[in-house]
Amino acid sequence: MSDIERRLLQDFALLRERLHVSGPDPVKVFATRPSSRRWFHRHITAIVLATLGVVGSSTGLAIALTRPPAGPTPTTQTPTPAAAPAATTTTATTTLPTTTNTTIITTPKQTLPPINLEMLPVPSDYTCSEGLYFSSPANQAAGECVPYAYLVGGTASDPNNNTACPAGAFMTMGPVECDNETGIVTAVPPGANTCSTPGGPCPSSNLPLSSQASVISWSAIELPTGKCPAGYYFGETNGIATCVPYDYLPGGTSANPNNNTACPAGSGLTILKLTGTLCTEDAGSYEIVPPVPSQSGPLSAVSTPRSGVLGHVTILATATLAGVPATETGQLEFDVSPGPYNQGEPASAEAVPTHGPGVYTMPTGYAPYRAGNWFVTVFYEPSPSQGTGPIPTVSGMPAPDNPHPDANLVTVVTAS
Amino acid sequence: MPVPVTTSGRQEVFEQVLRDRGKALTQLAFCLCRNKEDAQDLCAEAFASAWPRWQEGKVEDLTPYLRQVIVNMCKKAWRREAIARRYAPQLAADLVGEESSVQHRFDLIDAVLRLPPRQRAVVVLRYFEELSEQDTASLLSIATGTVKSRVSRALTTLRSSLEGESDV
Repeated sequence: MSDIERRLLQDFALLRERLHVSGPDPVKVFATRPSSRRWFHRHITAIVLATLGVVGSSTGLAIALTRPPAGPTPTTQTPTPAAAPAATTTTATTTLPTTTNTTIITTPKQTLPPINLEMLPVPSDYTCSEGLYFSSPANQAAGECVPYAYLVGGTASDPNNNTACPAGAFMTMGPVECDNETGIVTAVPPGANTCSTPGGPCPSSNLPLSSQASVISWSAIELPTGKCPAGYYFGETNGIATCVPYDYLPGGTSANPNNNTACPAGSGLTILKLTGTLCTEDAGSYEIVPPVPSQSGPLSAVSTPRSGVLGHVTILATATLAGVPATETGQLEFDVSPGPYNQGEPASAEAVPTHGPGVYTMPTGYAPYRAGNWFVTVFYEPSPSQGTGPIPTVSGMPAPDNPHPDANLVTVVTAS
Repeated sequence: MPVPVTTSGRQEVFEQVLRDRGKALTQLAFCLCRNKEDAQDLCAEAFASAWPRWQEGKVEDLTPYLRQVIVNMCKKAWRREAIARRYAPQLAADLVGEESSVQHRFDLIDAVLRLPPRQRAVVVLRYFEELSEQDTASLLSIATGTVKSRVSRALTTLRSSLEGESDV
């Protein structure tokens, strides 16, 4: 053990003693909902169907612990008129067991337009690996081959494709089977809208669907500013407004918008609006963030090749660093990651030292170990004590915090 | 710790972990995300998301599960942090308070907190959580070799960082 390691252990031990933080407040723990799209998918139907009401956030640990695990269970009803789009017919405000007020706006089913798949022209020469299926949410630049369990619903060419569950299996809508955020794989019991082999862990529960799929070209998706075009619905991810295909709403398909909605008679699909933290205005009136081509900036990069066959391809990226002083030293890190983004821990990380502006290339390159889309992310870090302003990271990885991934940093690897 | 089958037994264990490990997990979150308020919120959310799974019997060992959730949550913020970290002043001085910083200078911890997120994560997990290289690799979903290389790079940076300060 080196001196620096010994000192690290000593200083961290001291830190444990002297770092004054308190553990989580039990009230806060049990008054906080897991804030994620996963939560949204899991609980939206329950919220719609549940009697709206209030759960006190100060009821304390003992009371909070007894609430059902399936989600918030309001206990009293407080109908309240609220600002809503013109199409809104009924509104209500509920205080969920959280510090954030949540407004649910219910709109009539009849006002939801069918998806216009002609807006998504697709090339036809791409094949996902066996057991994987193509998925390309509208706010991502590149599609992904993903285990079937992650599918939300439909494809561009066949929106009802994933409704064809084999006998004994069921359909799912939403990434509920593999908990991708925590890495925990849990079995999903059979039931409506659950496409899985009951009890089977991922990926063994993948269905033997056709591996034929299509790639949706991000550049072909035109999202004008203003309201969402027909076939798209407003969606919000980490504060970034985008239009998403109707299929991704919790319920409904392009062919049948009212399918699987589980809405009671007289009501329709819902938009969950989180006031104060995420959305602050009514859905449908947002300025849409359109896809923008990558622009030259202080850091740009390109990876090669753009496609290749597994076992015969080595990804090599070249970065152009500009906008830094000629005397500045630092390093560029090239990360190569498989998708989707929340599985995107780099499979390879290579760094090269830099001396001012210039063109720098990965020293070795990376040979992917599986078929699918591979993304390169390039970071620039000036040496300590050198004070360059922020240099944005460039990445081909689609992610909520990277809404405009650089298509030049994506390599599509096909199975050999 | 044997996992009780009954709901009340699971509740007791959960509360005990919350009491006994809450502070340590918040400290881990702080070392990863570098902000006390964020760390406390993040830790609270980790417990909140763990509770239903624990109640349903889907989690076998609560502490490693919570550690994994915290690391995953922090990973989401690392990319944004890459830009901001170079402007973070005197982190360690803030974290221990004025009295402690007089008694002991946390120059090294301060340097750790300034490391790039991925390097900081391996250092924190190896030397703060005292996990093995294998456990660190598993927690971060990376190869053991990557852990070694990141630790090596981080230690080099820390050494040069300390040498630079002593020269001043």
